[in-house]
Amino acid sequence: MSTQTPNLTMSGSARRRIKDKLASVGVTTGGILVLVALLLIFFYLLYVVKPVFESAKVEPVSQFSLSLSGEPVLLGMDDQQDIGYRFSRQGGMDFFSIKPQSGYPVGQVILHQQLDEAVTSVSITASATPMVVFGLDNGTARVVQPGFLITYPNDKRTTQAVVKSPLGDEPLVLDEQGRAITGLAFEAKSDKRLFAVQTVDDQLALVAQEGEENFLSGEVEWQTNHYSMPAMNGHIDQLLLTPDLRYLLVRGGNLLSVYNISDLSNIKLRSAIEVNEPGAQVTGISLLSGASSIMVTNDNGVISQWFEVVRNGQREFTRIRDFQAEGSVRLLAAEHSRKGFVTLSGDHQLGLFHATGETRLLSQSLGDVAVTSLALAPRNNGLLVERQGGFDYYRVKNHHPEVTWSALWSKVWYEGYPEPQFVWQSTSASDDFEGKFSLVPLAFGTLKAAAYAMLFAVPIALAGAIFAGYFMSAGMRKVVKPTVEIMAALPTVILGFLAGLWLAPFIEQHLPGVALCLILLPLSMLAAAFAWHQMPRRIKERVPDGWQALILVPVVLLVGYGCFAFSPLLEDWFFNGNARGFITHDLGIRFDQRNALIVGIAMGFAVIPTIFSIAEDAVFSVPKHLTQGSLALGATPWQTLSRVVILTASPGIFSAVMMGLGRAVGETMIVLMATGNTPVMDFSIFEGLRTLSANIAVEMPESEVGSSHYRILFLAAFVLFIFTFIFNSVAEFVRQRLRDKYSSM
Amino acid sequence: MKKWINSGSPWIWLTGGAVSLSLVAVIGLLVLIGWRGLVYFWPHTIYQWQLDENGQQSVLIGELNDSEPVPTARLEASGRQFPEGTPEVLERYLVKTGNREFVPLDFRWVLETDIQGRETPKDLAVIERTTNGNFYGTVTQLLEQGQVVAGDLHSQLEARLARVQDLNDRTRDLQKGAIGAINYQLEKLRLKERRLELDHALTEAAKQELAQARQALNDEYHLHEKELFDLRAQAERDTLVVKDMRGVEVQIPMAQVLDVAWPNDMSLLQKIGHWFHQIGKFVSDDPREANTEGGVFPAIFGTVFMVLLMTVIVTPLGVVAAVYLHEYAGKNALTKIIRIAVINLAGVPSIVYGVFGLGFFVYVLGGASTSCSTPRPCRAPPSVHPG
Repeated sequence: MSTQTPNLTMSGSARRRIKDKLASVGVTTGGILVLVALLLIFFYLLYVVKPVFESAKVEPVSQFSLSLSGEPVLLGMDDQQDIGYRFSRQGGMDFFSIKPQSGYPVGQVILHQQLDEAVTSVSITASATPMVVFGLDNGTARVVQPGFLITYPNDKRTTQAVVKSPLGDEPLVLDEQGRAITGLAFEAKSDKRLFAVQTVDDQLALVAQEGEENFLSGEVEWQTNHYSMPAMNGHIDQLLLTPDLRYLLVRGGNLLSVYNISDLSNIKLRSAIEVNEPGAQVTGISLLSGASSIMVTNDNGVISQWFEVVRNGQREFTRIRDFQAEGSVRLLAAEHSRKGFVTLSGDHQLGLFHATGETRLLSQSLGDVAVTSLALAPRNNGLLVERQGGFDYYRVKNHHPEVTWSALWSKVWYEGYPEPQFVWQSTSASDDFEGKFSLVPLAFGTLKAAAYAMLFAVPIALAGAIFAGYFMSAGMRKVVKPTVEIMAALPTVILGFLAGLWLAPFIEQHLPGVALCLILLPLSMLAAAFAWHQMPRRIKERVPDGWQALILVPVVLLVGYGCFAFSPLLEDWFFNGNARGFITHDLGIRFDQRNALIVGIAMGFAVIPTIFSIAEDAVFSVPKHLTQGSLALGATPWQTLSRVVILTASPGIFSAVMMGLGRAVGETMIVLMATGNTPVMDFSIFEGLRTLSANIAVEMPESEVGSSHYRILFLAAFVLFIFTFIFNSVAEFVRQRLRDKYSSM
Repeated sequence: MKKWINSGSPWIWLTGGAVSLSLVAVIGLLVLIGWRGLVYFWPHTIYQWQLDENGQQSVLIGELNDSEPVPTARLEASGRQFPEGTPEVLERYLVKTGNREFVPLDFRWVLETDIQGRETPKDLAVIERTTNGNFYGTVTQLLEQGQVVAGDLHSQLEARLARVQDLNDRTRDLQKGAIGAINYQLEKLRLKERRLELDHALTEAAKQELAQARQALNDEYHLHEKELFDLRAQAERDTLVVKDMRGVEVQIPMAQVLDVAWPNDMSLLQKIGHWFHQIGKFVSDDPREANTEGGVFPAIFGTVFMVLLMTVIVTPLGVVAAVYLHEYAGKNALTKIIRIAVINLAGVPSIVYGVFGLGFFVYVLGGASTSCSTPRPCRAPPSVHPG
């Protein structure tokens, strides 16, 4: 392509030379800018995607010495992580400053309160703003909650720590006989509060408060009821209530008993399972955020996740997966509103895990002093650790724990699912919802749509290209080629619109006609060819060679019209007037109106001009001396075509197919409008699909900037980019090779 | 026969068939789009049906929109009763009745057996309005200030329609032109005040000056407002009286009327003229009534403007790249890579460009450029709201 400037001595002025030089630099820069543009897209997509795969980090921020009395049961922070709090088993409640932004020196106690009564048991609710219930030795309990009042005097945020009593200042009577409460569990909903109470002699009882709103005053009136539990065998180590108040979990040693308490007058033991790892002892159980999963910790470091799975119509608690921490697990704290958790094992070993992703994100030693307790910040971005003699405060960088390479591309067992599956379900109306980001159904949908489109387009486009490039007369070729190429100029949104709103219902009503067309069209072409062959010679001679395509146009029109006109009759004869019903009921195949068949046809149309145009060029530019040599040696035109032309043009034909595939994979509007966009994985031609491109178009406007969802959509775009990059580059490479070959022939 | 097959001729015909199939598909598609789109503007006949639904007589006026066969059994299952000897399949017609304010839905299904008779009276008119869509009926009278106007109805109507349209145009010009300019000035004053306030330069003198400017603008506004109300009052002078399918005479203010046509009274030539007129209106009008009526001019404008803008930005780059590849590039690996990059830029799916554009131009560059360059305090980029 390049023209070598003759090496003449520049006799012009220096200005001319400078101008020439400038032009050369400018134009070269312009050429290279093309490459830069492509690289910019590539690297920007990578840049957005990258944080998803970054590993979690826990970095120390500050340390301070502060000794507080009692054994810690609850540690926590406010939203801004300015003030920490610590509640002790003995009824002590302390608030202290973590950062100078709180207005106090770091490590100073801001507020201290102490219960006067003797505390015999403690329970903490599972929530980002937990409530603490102290069971007392006289059968009563106090419920307190750490609270923060935020005010803005002089435009400056100040946080004030308070201890709230959400259930009133009076102690609640939980045991009417006044026995000491040795074990306790508590959870509350807006209209119901439930206490599970264990008294001295391992007896269990439930105390429920049910609220009813007074219509006149709008106040909620609470009514307290006591319920007895079925007799327990053995010792009770731990009590836990699920926040939805459906289950009571009772652990005695390694035995976990699950009671269904949704109907308090009819409490049933659902299951009793040994939950320990063989050869190890259970150290505790806790609930993950969302309260569907039970995490069981063992003294050998194994943490197992259990949730209910439907098996044979029965819901059973099933061991789903295990995690390995280092050393005996002493404490497990669930992340708030995510499915992650942190563990404290051994003396001072921190573990950071994500349950659904089945990953250990981090395992790190927290210094060499024994750690007594730890807590995550409400937004999961800070960690407060209590060790002997003081506290450590860490910053946690863990933005996308749920996204791992394996979670994106392999089956994941989500809570409530009967088995591991590929699921794409990015959003829902509920807050507890866990995003399910498997790219497999989308990649599958993309390839399925492309495959059906290619199935439709490749035979027609290649056969047409061969005919147009080899048999057609030059004059006709001049008309036919641009006509077919017009279709490439048609916006795909029009094709998609027609496919979704006109073609899909049309095909649904004329299914037998479609099948008939598929059989009759090629047969009728052959029949027409044979009829032409039998025609008297003088008629045949009047029509020049290469006009077969025009002769066949009325045949195609007539047969096509006939097929669809006959379709209702066929439907009446064979399918009792309802072909769709026959497919769904008698064959048992699901049928969507907008299905892969529609996409295949509509996207096939969009791809035909691409393949046709490039393949036709390749066939047409096969050097004439090759074909003429073959014909001169006595080969028939068909033999010449199949042995010489196609063989020579095959790299070009291959590149045409690759280009078509690249276009089919990236096509958006047609699949968006004609597929129904259900991310299912099924090869069936009668079912819908969702492609990567349509998924981006559907979900991009509603995804939060910087969230995992947003970044995964960018990843989908990146995958698409790579797909098409490979197809296009291979095609172009082959074409360049071919061009060189032809030019040397 | 065998010789014919051996010659390979059937396969050649099959490849020829592929070409004809492609041609039929391309041309069929274009014809389908054209037909479906353009037939909408054709002045359809307005029918007047005599209906008898279980002994209830009524008149239905409207355009025939669609028809479909329905099995009688399905209708019987839904509670309808038919006499013996009713055919197995009945035809059902979809009628566009218009008159949105008087009927629950402006489309209605009518069963073949309910129809007693069908006529096409020449005086049935379709009235295009600014609100509530089309109105179908017979124009009986024209009122001026409540008094019946004498003379030929058609020519009177035409003259008064032109007058009302002229008044409406002037109203719009006034609103968009003079009043819009005043609003723009007021907004500039507000911004000026805000800038002074942020610069702590809002002195009493400046305040007074601003108040004076505001007062002058408000006075000017009141003048225009009076003119506007005057124009509106003039437009409300005439009223059209139309008898609809219930036999009720309905008064339609001329100010709401956009067009009146009598399709049943048109010759073919007139129909073609009307068809072109309707297409012209579709292309040049603004949309009305939440995009269900009116034209698509803003969408056309947006498309053309975007394409022009894109061309201006991108053409130099494209031409320079082409010149480079053809004239300057050496025969080396870099040229090959650039050629592959060109092909890829053409082949990368548009959705990837969309994602890149949203992320890079809107969130990165857009966020950086708007955060501190306005006379307001720095704030988060306006684009953090998805959408």
